[in-house]
Amino acid sequence: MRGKKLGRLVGVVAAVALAVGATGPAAFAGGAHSGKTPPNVPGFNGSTIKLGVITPQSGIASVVGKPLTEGNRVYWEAKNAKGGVAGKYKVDLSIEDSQYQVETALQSYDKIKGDVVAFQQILGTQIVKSVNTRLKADNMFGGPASLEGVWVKQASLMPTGTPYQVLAANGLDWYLKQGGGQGKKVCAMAQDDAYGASGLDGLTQAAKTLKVKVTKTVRFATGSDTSAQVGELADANCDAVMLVSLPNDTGSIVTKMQGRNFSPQILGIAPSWLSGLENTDNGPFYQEHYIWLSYGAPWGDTSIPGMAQMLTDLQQYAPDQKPDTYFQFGYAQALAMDQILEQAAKNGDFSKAGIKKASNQVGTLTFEGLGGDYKYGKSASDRNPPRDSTIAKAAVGPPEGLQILVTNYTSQAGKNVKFNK
Amino acid sequence: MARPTGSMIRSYADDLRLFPTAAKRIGLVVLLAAYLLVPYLINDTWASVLSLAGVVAIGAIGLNLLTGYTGQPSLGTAAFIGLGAFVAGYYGGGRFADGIGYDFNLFVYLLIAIVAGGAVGVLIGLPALRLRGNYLVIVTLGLVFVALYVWKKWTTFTGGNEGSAMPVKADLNLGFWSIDFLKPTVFGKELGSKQGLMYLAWGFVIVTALLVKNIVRTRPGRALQAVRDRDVAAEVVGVSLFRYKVSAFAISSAIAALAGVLYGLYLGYLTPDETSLGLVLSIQFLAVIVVGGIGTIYGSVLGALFVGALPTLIREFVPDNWNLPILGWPIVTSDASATGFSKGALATIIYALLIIVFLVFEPRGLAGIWRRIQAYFRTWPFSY
Repeated sequence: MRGKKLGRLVGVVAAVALAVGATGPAAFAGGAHSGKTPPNVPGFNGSTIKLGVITPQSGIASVVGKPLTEGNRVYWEAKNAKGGVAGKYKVDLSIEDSQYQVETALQSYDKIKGDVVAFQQILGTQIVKSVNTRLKADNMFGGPASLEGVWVKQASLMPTGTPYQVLAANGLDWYLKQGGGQGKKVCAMAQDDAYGASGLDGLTQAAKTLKVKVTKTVRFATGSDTSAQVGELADANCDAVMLVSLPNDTGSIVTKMQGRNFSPQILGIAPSWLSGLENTDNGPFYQEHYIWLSYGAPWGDTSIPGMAQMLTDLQQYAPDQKPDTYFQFGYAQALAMDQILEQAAKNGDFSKAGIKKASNQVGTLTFEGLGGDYKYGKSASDRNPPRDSTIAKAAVGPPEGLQILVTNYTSQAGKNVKFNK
Repeated sequence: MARPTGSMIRSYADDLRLFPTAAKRIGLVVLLAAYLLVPYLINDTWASVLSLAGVVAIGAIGLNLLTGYTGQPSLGTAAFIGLGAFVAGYYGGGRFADGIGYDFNLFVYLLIAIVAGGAVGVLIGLPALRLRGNYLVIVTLGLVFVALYVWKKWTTFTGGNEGSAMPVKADLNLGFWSIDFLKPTVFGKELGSKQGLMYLAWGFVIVTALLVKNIVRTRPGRALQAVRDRDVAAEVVGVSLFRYKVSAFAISSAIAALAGVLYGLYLGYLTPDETSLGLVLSIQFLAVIVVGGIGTIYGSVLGALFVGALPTLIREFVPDNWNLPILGWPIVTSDASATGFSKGALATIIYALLIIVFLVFEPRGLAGIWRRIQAYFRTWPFSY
């Protein structure tokens, strides 16, 4: 009798545990499950899974690459401490310094591709595009560390986060409906490359949905003098400027704007901001005129499970890490890869083809509030990225120099955004 | 009676011989054997490094013809590299799946690139007739920016800011024999794309080196060098500045476009931005001929090998955490937050230092060092 009762109790406990496991993120929960034992393959030796990282660890772009990689590392250290993927396979990162140069990145790829099961992080738009041709040829899988819309339908890539196009569309919608922009002149200033084109694409699509006209669009080369472009926007009497730039150019552009007594509302796409800008000489201008268009959980909001877990892990494995949006992206990116590896473990297959197959079986990648859910579906053509944004304003004091105005902002304009193949 | 050595020049025919000594002929055989065997034997890491070095060597040989032999400094190489790469993308089937461009085989899109490069080179050569030195540098510098603008705006040809996929095959079909250099089968073994690209790139290194060597050792070459040394005097003695300057630009640009095709095949995808096709790329080619040796063909090859292999040598052989012996100062660290350089940063610093050292102490580059070594052993034991 006692044996039967005990058996029932164990059954109930197991059922509850399964139910919790089913509703919680398998990745965070440790994900122990009975699956086939995966055979050894390149990058997996029966106990350790190796993932590649190709990212700038030196040079100007290392301000992005280092915290991003730190986010990857902290996530996997915490996961390994819990046992690893499927509760038993540790994950090891093989980090290569790309120096933000395509040739170096390709040589790094060629060097480690035989030693890893997939690539956790590949940073740089041109680098991802070039590496992606090799990923396709080698039937491998990798995570691009940017929000380009062109990644969405690429079967060899693991995009995460709300794409730039959607951020721009939601940003315009918010400005017109809640930011006091109704009837105002909206303009755009974008760097003349793929990132800039993505932002402008989102703005153009949103303007069509919202039936507004973008008064003036100017482009600039990164690192160049932008006086002429700022002058054009000032002459066009723009009330708001959608800014698609990187932080070093943002500073220079804002200085030019102040020099011309031109003070539009700046709607800056996520990478245009870097923590610390609020304390520069241009700080008061940012605080009055800069709106940040990004996605995901506000740093420090422990009511969001994903953020609470990230801060706990950060405290243990990188206590000196300052609030950093790129760290958060890297952590969420590792969480995405974890879900795919858990699926691959369930299938008992960590081969290159096995990882890609697993990516088509995860269904939807969840981020516990760190970012919106990303539908992966049965193939890359089914993918549907999150459509939510976080909108903040520059401020002195809050983490990252950003005071959150609204989270999970969605709009019809953002939902209508289409992505190229 | 003792026979004269191969290095003794007794006639014009002797002077024209490409491989006058037995040592050089043996060297040629060794190099040809290396060409056939090395891609077959090495791993992907080194195949990747050496295939890129081959591409750079081709562009550097072309630039050396223009700058080293004709005295026309140029920073325009990146423009022609871009032209060749985008021709490959458009005519080689890179974007054909999206219904854009053509799907010709390697021979056709190489030919189109070479002709296009040569034609644009002629156009650039015309203003060079009235310019020299710094002024010519500025004109060719402008070409890089104009080209970048054109690549960004000519979206049907280049894909605009989104860029262009490059050909996924580099196939030749001669009826009796066919090969795809990106998936080659050699001695019955299927090799990787980097190994195939090595065969293709270093094959063209041999072809372009022979072509340029043939130009510079004959009458046109002497005319080019006369233009370089004293252009007015050259014209006085009957050398047509128009003909030789424009020809040098055309041939150099055609070779750069050829290198561009191979560069595109290496990258797999190309976007027209400053980091890929900007001034830095042109300066790198200039640095290759400075380090290798201005005015020498094998100097271009040595420079390309040196510049191409240095970062990989450091990555492979310098420890992840390396302190200066005795003093213990941190030189290389893998900890992003610690004092010291990453391996990538160290490679960049050494690369920059070596360029300075070569410019100051050995302006004739690696080729100059090699010549001194040759001279030492040729005159041994009477080397002074």
